[in-house]
Amino acid sequence: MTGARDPAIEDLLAAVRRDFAAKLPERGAELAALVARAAWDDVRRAAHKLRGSAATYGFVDLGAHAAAIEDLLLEAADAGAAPDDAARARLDALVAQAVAACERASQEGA
Amino acid sequence: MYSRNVAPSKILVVDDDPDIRRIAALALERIGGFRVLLAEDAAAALDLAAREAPDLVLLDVSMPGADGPSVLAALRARHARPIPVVFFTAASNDAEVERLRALGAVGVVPKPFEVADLPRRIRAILADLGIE
Repeated sequence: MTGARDPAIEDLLAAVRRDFAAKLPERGAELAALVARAAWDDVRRAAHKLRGSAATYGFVDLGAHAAAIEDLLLEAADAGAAPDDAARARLDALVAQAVAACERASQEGA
Repeated sequence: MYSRNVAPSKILVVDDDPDIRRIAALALERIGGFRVLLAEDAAAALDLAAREAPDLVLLDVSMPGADGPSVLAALRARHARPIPVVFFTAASNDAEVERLRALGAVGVVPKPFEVADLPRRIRAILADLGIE
């Protein structure tokens, strides 16, 4: 989120970034809850949304974690199966990272 | 094929994610000076396209229900004068870009996008089309 030099626009961007960041802990918790329920399609959709929006709002780490979650679930879907034990372990680690990134982003954006 | 605008070009942004609609509208309106219309799904997009005749549609590929390519096909079927469509996508690898262009898209904008860069990209596409 750089390149807009007009201070009024910069203020607006900062405000929308704060709004976005404030909702992230809840979104992280939702993601973790979906994983706990093994609702893989919903997890993939939630990760897809975060992948597109998080880095656009300046939260690059969170966008990268969300992208990794979506890609892992797309691989499993392409194989026609739910994530196996190894994939599930990676997924749990990635989701934990995403949840932590949501919390950090919320603190940064406040 | 397209007529040149004098008034600010009208951009219809179609995305199911309200956060993307919000930031895209801010970028296109406040930085780019475009007039922006927002739709959250295919039905709203087709309705707005019919009523407002946008100069360009910025369309998310992956949406619940009718996805971006389905919306593009419906726009093509309903409008004698084709409305240029630019796809928004998180999967912007070469093969996907080629697939989307083959469907008739005039451009592809990867997500995430740089806020200040979005209006520049859209303006360049409009210029290439002779709309601005």
